[in-house]
Amino acid sequence: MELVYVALPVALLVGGAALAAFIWAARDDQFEDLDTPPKRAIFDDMEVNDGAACVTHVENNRKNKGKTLDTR
Amino acid sequence: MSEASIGPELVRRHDSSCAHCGLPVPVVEVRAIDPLQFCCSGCRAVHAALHECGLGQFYALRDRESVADASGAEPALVTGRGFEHLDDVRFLGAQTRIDDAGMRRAELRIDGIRCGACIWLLEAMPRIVRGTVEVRVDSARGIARIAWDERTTRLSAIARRFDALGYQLHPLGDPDAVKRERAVNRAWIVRMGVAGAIASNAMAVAFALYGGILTNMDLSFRLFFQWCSVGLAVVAVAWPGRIFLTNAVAALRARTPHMDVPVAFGLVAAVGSGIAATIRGTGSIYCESAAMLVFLLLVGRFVQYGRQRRAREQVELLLAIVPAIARKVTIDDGRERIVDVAMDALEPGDLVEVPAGEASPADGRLVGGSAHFDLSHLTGESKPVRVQCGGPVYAGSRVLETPIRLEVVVAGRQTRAAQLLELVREAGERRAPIVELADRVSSWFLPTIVVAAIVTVVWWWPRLGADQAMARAVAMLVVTCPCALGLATPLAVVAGIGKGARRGVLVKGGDVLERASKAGTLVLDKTGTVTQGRTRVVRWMGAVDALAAAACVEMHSAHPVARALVDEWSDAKGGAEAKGSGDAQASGVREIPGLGIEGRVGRRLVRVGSMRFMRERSAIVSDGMHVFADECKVAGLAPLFVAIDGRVEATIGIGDPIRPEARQTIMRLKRAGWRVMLASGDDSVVTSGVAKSLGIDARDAHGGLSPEEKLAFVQRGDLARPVVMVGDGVNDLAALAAADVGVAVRNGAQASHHVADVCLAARGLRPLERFLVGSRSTMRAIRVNLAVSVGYNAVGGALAFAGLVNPLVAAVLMPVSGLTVLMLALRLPSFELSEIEKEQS
Repeated sequence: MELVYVALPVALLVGGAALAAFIWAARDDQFEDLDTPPKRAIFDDMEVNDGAACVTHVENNRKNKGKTLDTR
Repeated sequence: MSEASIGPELVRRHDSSCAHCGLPVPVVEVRAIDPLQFCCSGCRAVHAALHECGLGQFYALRDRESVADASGAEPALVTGRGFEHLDDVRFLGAQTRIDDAGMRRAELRIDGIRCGACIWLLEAMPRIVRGTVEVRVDSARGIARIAWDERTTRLSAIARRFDALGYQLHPLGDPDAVKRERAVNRAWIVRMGVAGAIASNAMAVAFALYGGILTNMDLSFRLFFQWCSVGLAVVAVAWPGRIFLTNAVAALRARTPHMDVPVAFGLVAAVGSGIAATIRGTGSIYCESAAMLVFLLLVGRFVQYGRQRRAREQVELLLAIVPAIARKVTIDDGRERIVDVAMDALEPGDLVEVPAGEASPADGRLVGGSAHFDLSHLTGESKPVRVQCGGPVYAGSRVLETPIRLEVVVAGRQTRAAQLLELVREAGERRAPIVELADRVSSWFLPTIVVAAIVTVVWWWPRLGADQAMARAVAMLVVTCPCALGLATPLAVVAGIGKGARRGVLVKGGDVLERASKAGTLVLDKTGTVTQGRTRVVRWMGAVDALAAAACVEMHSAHPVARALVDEWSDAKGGAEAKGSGDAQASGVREIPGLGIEGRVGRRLVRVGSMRFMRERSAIVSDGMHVFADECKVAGLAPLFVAIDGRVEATIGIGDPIRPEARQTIMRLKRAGWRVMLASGDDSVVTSGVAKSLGIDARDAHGGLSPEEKLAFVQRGDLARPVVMVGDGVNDLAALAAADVGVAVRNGAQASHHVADVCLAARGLRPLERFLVGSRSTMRAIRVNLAVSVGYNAVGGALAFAGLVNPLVAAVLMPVSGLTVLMLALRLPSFELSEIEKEQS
């Protein structure tokens, strides 16, 4: 029965360690956004093609837009 | 995945839904030969950009993500702006930093995120845009964290690429406020975690303690357990529970009653007497009850805080009504240049350009020609308003056809739109807080047990001696542990909200259900709630031929009435193929602003317009047409005449048709005791016409209300509480925030969802009725739960007083009461809809 003098503080210490880990996680903002990470996990295995085309497309678009604005 | 493999899947979609956003494609946008149709040029541009970037998987992902959520669809917006203000040195200095790797990092608000596929697309940007190192999206808060290499790119270039895909980056309004909010949220989570850990440990210790008392454990062990229990409770009250103590002290200083005063009293009494009993070595302690109470109350408060935080954040997003960036016209060496400047940087006298379809960034005077504006944001008026040269233009009003220029009169916080937002904020803050039923019950709960325990001791001490009296008091305190009571409401509320969500009723909190559970006053906004929210041909009379001719002429106009006529005609002909397929072409079409339109179809001269237009062109109107036009007016419709070669051949009633189920539902609500009122920004004549056909009293129909008048309307003292306001426009925001319960309808203005307490997934009155029925039955469930737990505690307390419950039995029974309530909450059907469903079938 005297064991309880050791066991209870040890149990509380272990619990305290878990609590410390939780507090660290909370301070690290891990509970800030609970929506995005689960969705992000789905995308991890998806590949993206080379983006050279994209850059030119967007820039062209922009140039064309600029032109129409100037001529108006 | 290549374009070829994605293509056929898209072609299989319904012909007339947009390949990007899935919304129906307006007839004027339909391109007959295209396999893919788009609802607007924005969606078309984004679709093209995605495919050229090899990002076609977006659609596959999006479809997988949000098949069930089609109601959230919105067309993509591509602004084509320069975003030069993001390269401003002041902005870069204040809101960005350089990280260890030498990359610049910024946190920006991002607009346009709709689903999981958007997150994927945005976070894939570093792989396709040179110079972008990292993009992390927080979709819940609409924030993007971007890191880029300053040597190879600029933030404005990144913003332009985001824009090309339909996402706009804006600087955070107040970065410090965002940081503060985040810190407060962190503090709440830590507080709750600590309280939960302590409460569960205190419970474990309590089991050992009460078990030991029963089996005559040595005093030394008992004291050890008591010291552990007291220590844990002291930590619980002093760390996470301190918030209750400080609140109570503040309330006492201000001499105002507050829920936290009895709670603080109970906590201090429980811990204080526990310490005293342990020091004396005799007597009972009930520290675990205190620890548990701290935890359960914190959970409730956290849920409440989370809701308020969301609302606050979204009010900031409201500023998006007014564009954050203005296109300022500057004269440089005699040449005009257009530069992007932040809205705040505008000053009176500046000249700004507003592209067609965009909102004005400031209040100002129109320069150059006249133009049409959509003021529905500000006034709720559904018809476009024509502003003459030199006339006033308010920030947030959308320019319809042509780009305009305006001279700024006031900008920033002084604009009408900004003042409207201020009103929203104030109205939300001023709303009288209700003390929830559970709070009312728990506020007298702890003091009551403390008193009951004292009475037990005082009563039994002279009769049975100190030890026996203490044992009975311990039993009483344990058996009446507040966990059942603490759980009763949250469980029923969670069950109710969950069941509501599955039925398309999104309720933001338990207090909302409580407020809406009694019948009071129901204030409906006309547009979109009781009507379909679109200008359409409701009825017509005359020759089909005339309608065809009118549609031919109206095809050349972008006026909403013209759209309605063309839509009606193509629907009558069976869908999209109508356009350009063999119809006669109109020629020489001339639009006379405010009157009508005229043109030639074949050899016939066709005129479509108002009565005044007919009179001015001296067209012959038959008596039958006159009578029909009057009928239309009474029903709240605008009559439109079609004259062919100087003779009126058809009359069309144009208006916003009433939803088919509206009248019946309103009747049922009235029977249930609700006073149903109509408050609309639309014209009074139209409003009373709609009220009449809905069976609403004429005195309860109010039209032509400005946002300020709507706010005053819901705050009127003579209305029966609760006042439930239903609306979906930005002009309803202040009223939604001020009403006891604000109900927004999905697809309404984005901002209204955030201000409102309830969002309905579908338009119309059926979901509204569901919400009202649901909140009533959820409240019933809460009352049953509270009654059960209070009854349990009363019976348990009485048994303990009589000495029929010893501490061990009490310690076992304690969690059982919590379990009982849990089972009850899960079994009680909170959203019982069978009553109205049955009635309807």
